[in-house]
Amino acid sequence: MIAGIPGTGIGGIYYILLALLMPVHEACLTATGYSKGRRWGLVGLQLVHALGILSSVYGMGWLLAKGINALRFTFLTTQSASCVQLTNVVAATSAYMAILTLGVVLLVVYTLRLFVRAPILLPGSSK
Amino acid sequence: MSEPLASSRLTVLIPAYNEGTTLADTLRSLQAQTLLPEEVLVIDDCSTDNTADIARGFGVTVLRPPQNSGSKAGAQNFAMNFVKTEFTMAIDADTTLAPDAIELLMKALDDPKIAAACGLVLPRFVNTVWERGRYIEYLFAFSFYKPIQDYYERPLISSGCFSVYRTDILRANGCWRTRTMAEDMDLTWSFYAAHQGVRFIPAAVCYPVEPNNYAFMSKQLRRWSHGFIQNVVVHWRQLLHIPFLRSAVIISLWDAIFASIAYLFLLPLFAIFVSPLFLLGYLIDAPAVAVPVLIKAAERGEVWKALASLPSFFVLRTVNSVFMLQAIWQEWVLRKRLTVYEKGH
Repeated sequence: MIAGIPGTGIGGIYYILLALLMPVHEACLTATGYSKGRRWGLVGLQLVHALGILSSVYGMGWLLAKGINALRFTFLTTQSASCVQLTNVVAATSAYMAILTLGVVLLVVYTLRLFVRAPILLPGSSK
Repeated sequence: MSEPLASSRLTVLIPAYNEGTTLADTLRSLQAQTLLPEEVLVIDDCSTDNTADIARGFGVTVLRPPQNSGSKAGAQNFAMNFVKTEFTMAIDADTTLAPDAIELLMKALDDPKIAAACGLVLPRFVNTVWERGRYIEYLFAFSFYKPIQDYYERPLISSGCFSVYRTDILRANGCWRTRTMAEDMDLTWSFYAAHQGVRFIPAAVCYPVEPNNYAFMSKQLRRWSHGFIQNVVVHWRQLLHIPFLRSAVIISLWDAIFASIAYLFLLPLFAIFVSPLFLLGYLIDAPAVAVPVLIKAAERGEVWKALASLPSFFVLRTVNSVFMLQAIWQEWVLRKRLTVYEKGH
């Protein structure tokens, strides 16, 4: 029932971005008179989810960096300063790489649709 | 307590092959609904147990095809010849419903643009590592991914274990196709291609019996992973022209391939040759998974159950990765399509 591997990869980032976009989207719908009040409840809940996920990921990264550096400091005292920078750089690079990958994948699919025609649907056929 | 309402517009289909142990609970939960269907059709797909006797004991109509139809889709299609109502609901024979599930789901079809609606799915039993893993997977997906998909009007799947459809649109789309192993995904994507809407109603809850051991789980995962790949092959041209769905599917496919490779190969290799710290990669997103899971669990008063089940999610995810890669390899590289429907749920 669940396509892909939930929680990992660019899928997680994609849904977080979509959740962060929901208030903007809903505000546009409200401004044009297309929004129903009860939708704001869902928007708020998904925003809480997304912000909670981002905070927890940041917290986990911070905790890991602290833990790793503490371990390294114990065993390799002379390199402790450079290790702090290293873990920060690795975490930031991973996040940027994931967002960049997501952007490239979306760009490819949006470009592809310009070159591939949709098949004509016949009654009782979906292909 | 108020008397249940009767809907003369709804027929419930329950495909059943050797479901003698679970069918009674399903029928009992149907009888306890706040909105009762006009008719319940149990399709006894040439069972060798007492499935038909149990169904008759509840006073529902039992249909029996001349021979085993070979899949859930086949059994449901057989029953469509007997459906006379405006709406058709499909429920698995091992799935029970919350008392207001049908009433809540039917409300979604008040909107004439909506062709189908599905509800929240949660495992009925949460004991083994497999059931616990699935419990977390569902809590996560149904509280974070699926409401977002619904907000953007494209739930990825109207789950086959509990969905309602407009009968005429269902028939116009060829009912449940047997060309893939995931007939519910096939049908949902066909609806979108025909410019029809699908809704996810989180308040309508159903409780299927999930696989409780590896043998059972592996059959289900094999079917689901092959089904996803087969649906991408069948629908990819149409998908490119369906807003939101194209992105959701390509990203699912990307993660199915690359997250699985990272999980099964890259992390262990980096852990061996670079640093054991790479093993943290298996758990690094644990807090991210935990946030939506615990919010939903708190709403249901199941926080301890969710916390105790969380580690099982990572076991199931690893196993899931193996089946995903295997499906991609077999379907795309070896061109060996999975065509035999093995019951696993």
